[in-house]
Amino acid sequence: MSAHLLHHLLDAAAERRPGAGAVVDRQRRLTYAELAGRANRVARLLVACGVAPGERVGLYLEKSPEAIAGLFGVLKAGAAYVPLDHHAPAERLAYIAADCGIRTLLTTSAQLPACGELVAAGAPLERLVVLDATGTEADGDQPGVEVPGVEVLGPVELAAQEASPPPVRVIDLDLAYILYTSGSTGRPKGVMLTHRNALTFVEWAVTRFAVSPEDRLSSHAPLHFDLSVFDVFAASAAGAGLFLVPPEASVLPLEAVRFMAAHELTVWYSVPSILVMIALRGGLAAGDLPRLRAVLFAGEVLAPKHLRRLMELLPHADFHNLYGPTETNVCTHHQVRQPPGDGDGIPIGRAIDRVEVFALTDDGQRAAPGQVGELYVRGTTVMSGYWGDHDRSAQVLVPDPLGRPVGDRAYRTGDLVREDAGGNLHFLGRRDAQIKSRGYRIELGEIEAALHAHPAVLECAVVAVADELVTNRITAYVARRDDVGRDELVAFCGRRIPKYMIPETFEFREKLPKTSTGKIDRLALARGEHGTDGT
Amino acid sequence: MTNEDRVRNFIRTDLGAGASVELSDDYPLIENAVIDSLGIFEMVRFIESEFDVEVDDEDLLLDNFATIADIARLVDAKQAQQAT
Repeated sequence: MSAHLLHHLLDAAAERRPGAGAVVDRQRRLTYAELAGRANRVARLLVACGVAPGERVGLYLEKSPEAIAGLFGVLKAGAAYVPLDHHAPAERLAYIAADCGIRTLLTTSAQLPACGELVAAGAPLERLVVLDATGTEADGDQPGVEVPGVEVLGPVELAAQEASPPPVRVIDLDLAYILYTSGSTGRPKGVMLTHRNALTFVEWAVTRFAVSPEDRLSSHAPLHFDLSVFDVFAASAAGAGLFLVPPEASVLPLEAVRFMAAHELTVWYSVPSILVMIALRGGLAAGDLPRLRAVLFAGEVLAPKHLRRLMELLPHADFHNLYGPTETNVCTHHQVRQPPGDGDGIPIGRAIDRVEVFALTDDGQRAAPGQVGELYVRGTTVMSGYWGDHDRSAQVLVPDPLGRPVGDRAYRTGDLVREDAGGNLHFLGRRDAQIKSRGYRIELGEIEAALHAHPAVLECAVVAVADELVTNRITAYVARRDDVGRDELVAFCGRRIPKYMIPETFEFREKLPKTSTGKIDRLALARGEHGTDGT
Repeated sequence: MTNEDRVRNFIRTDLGAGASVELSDDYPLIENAVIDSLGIFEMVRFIESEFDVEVDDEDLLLDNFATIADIARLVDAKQAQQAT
């Protein structure tokens, strides 16, 4: 049987290399046989609880071998996984759970109090499955914390399941996962991706990067971030080892380098900001990390000077820029073969297999090389839509603008690009108020909506200030009713939006400058003009 | 105010850790994403200006930044080092 569903990749790896290391973190190492067995037990328990094919099951736990087993377990039950950022505020997660109807959540005993907060915030949870063993008594008692009105299942129920896959049938057009991204109207939107969407990218990536059973892959991105799709599924597709990067290695460059060295990682994939940290303060000497053969980056622009430095420090590694909004997985790729000069942009490159990309000018014509256009993506990596939001789906999934008769849709990215003389695309910027900061995709409108919810905020505008290290820093301009201060607004935002979206700087004004049409003049604010200081 | 309290205040006001976070001396800051990849450099800048010490790249290790107690220990060590 060919692998036409994501979990077939795990089944095949467990059959070919049952004893090989599949997932490794600080505490544990699971072999492929163990990972598949755990996933099958999770799947069987979900099916026994009545989880139906196509149902959404939340993953609400730190990235761990249990989480990876849980993710595959959801897929094996025929359901779709929805990774929830366990650092995000309960209110936002409860919105997501209600939006896509999450009734069942996979979690850990340590997260149970937080699960209670989700329920209190309105998440329609009926059942929690605790994947870790701690807190379980020998006599079969469940973990000590109770969540009112919610059934808690755990290791005892899991252990009672058979370790073989449950008899569930789905096809590759079925939903595999939903990734929620920032929404400009103040509510996150759920990007629906099918098995086929992900496999198209994974199959290309495994071939292009020649991922083999000998490889040792990093797992840096959290599961709610689409970079994790490569990590988890390319590792299984190749039967390679997946090494879960601990939090300190994302924060401290020396710890990142130590982690890569200690585990002899061969393939690293992350957003650029961590690579910049490593280049600047990682203490690397040229030729360190000799086993590292490929460095992949995606999510935002990597400054040429930092990439040059990394390429000089790691001359034995190949460097690849991957591009694609969550809605398209990865859709283009460029291998950087020479250390770039300061003035060289790093191209996003060309379309991957089974994908077409093209740019249209404002008058709807196909952009010629050298011309600026908006990028459209067509092919089997493109999402099937936003969960429960036909209007927004229809705005971005449009009938083929080039008028071909097969009837598929193209995704309108909102990204402006230009093709160079060599046929490579270059990313130039956004059409709208979406920004990136440390690889996170942020709609400034979502931050404004969070601030507006505060009764003392009369008007506000959130602008991005370009920053070399993290791409963008966020400043909020606020006209206020009372003497509400920065700390209060930070705390207020912290209950609504993830920490990476909270403005770092607050500027208070009597009122905000307006354009001739009466809209807040964001450009004037960003340039530091107008507005009277009310502090 | 102890060094621990000065660090704690900085985390509360400038790193955006909400009042709901307990922030005891041994609360894991990095594990719980109170200090993230951006916050670490703000923390280093704060330590350098507040305590008049220099933090080197080699000091950027988990042992020095895992908790408020660890950071206070780092500050003590740096101040002792510079006094000699």
